[in-house]
Amino acid sequence: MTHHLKLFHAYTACTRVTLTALEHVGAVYDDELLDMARGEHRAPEFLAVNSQGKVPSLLVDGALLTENGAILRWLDSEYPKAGLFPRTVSDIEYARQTGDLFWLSSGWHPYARAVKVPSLWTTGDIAPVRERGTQLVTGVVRQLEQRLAGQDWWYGSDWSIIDTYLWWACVNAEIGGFDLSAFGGIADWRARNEAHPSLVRALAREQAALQRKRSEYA
Amino acid sequence: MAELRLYHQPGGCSRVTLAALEHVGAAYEDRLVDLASGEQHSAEFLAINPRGKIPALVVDGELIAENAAILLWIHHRWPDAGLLPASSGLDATRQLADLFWLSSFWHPTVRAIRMPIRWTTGAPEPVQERGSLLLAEPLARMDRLLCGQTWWFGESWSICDVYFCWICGIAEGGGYPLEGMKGIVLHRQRTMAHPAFRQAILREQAALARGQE
Repeated sequence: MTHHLKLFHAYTACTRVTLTALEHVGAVYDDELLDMARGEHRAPEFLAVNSQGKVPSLLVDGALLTENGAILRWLDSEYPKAGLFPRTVSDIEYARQTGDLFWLSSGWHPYARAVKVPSLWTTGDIAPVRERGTQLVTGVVRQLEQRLAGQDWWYGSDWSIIDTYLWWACVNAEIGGFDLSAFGGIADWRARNEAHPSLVRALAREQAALQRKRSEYA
Repeated sequence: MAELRLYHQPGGCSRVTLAALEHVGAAYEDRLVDLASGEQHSAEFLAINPRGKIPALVVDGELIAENAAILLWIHHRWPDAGLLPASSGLDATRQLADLFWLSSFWHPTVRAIRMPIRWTTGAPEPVQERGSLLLAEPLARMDRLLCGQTWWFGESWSICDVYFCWICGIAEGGGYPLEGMKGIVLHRQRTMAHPAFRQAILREQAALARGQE
């Protein structure tokens, strides 16, 4: 592929999924970590890239692509043999995969946010938002646990980027205090995810970007 | 032709799905799911959609869940119907990104305003207030955009117009004032006058009338 790619990402954000996808397809890309705590996503330099100030932002030959799910689908279409998603035999099956991406972005992600950063959903006391978020995350985590009962990965015997996205949402909820220990199937699947080479390389890449950023501010 | 059945709730975001099916001229059955009485959690409905959510579209016995995924499937089955402007390339990816934006930012945010108890076990007011704060800047941005163009993508109507119109209606229903936003007010009027929207409303009314029999 001859596109010039540059990903803007943030530490522990859902850009971990985008990085994993880029690593998995073997793309050559530049990356830059934005320090959200310092407000770099609201700085004029980045607003010139993406006026909404959001990550992930992927520049493709200078043209902006946003929204994690859309970027994952674009990478899948550019690298169809890389196996980001299992091959589908029907348009219905393809739509169901896309539905899983929407489920993650409009369900899991805002639910995990309610647990990890409840202040994003309230101007008041965060405890009742975190409690509600815990209920919502429990609902989807149970669905994941059920699905993993007879199989290693979300789609069966093969890893897909959906596993990384689900992994990220689970880990984020856990960082926010969600107790995953009751879910044995998820514990095994999580270990498989964390041993997956594409995620291992993505986290190394994130760490390297973080070190660059730290030396910049040192 | 495939056999289609849509599970929906009048006034829900399934109105957007109905408008899409109407716009492409699909033949389909529709079934009401009464969210107020918790029918989405009934064993009967969970057998259809284990996630207990509407809209749910069943195509020849197979489920497609998540509104935007259903909209994209309809677009690909009826590529010449004009549900969305692009079918391939970076423009199609951007259009996909817009659907992600609508479903994962706008939709949960207006839920905080209209249905704050979905995001809290406590008092609704601080969640509504936060939702309004989250909405203010993107809404002002959309208002400016729609002052200068007729539809979401510019010259041509698309299903994103219906989705956005529905979102604005939910925000307003939750008490968010829209009347000062001329671009948005006129865009809503245009979208509600479009045949796809009007037919979706008629279909909802017919479903409600059947339900009362």
